[in-house]
Amino acid sequence: MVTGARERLDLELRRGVVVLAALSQLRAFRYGYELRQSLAEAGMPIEEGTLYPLLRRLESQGVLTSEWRTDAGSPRRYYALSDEGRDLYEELAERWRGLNKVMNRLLDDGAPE
Amino acid sequence: MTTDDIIESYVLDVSRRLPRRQRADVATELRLLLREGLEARAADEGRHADEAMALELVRAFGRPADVASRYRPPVTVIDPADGRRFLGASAAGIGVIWVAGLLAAFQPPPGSAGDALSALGAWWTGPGLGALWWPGLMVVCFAAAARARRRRPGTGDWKPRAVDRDEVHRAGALAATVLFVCGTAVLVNPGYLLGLALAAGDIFRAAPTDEAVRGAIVLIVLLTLLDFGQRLRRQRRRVALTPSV
Repeated sequence: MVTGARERLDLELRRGVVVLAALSQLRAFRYGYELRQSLAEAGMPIEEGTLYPLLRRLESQGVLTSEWRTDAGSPRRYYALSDEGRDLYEELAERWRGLNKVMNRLLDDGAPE
Repeated sequence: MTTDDIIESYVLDVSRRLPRRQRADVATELRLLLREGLEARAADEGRHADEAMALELVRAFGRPADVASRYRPPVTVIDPADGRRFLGASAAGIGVIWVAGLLAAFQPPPGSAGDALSALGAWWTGPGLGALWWPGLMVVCFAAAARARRRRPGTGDWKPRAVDRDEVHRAGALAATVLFVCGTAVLVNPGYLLGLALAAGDIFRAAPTDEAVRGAIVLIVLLTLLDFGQRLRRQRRRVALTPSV
């Protein structure tokens, strides 16, 4: 019972930050696999089956812009923040920092002596 | 099957679930990403990519239907908040239709076990399966309500209402209702219920001649009643433990 709840809550917690984590790495153009590697190296591994569709959804919402490039032989679709996406990212990042401060305070106050 | 065949088959399964205008583009990107992922995995493990590795890769990616659904915003037919009410309304409706159908099927009361089985068969192929129109109707009603709330967000606003402070015991209220309906039925048509009871007795006498079978049936009935009684007691205890405001 607790194991199931732990997995679900962990998933919910991660779901809340996946978008912001992905946006943070897309200030410059990157393709899906490269982005995934970069997030994993930074300590935020995201399943391929979640990340690649997410990029498409964000693009269809106008948050990202994309283009096909053939820099290293095989063609790849590169994504980056659009102008609106850049503004949105700044807003979300600011919001996240605020939440983070509050959460740190809550967690520190509630931590055992 | 080669690794390319596996990836191709997977990409096809995902892309055919997507809108036509999106298919080719997503398929091209997904194919390249999976191939690249497979090459990286093979390099990490220091061996050539094989069928098992490709299968592991695409299975970790997710079921094609799940992956395809992530490419599009989800479509909600019934609001998740209405899920339990929908199930309750569907089950209650089916229950009422089945009970009414059973009463009609056993009118007039069957004279033998064979007649009873025929009546049951006719009931199942008639109202038994036919009752499934009710959940369908519930889907339409709940979906329409959800759509209306989404289109006009103000329509679903909560409104205060007078609070009924009487603590009603649900199981007791249900039992009282059943007894009330049965009592009314006895008053209106005593012969019918008597006939049903007699027929049930005949069926019981005719079918299980072995005393061990009868004993098992009686035991099951007793255990069911015992379990019901225990559940009722636990429910009362929970009500008693709940602090009143």
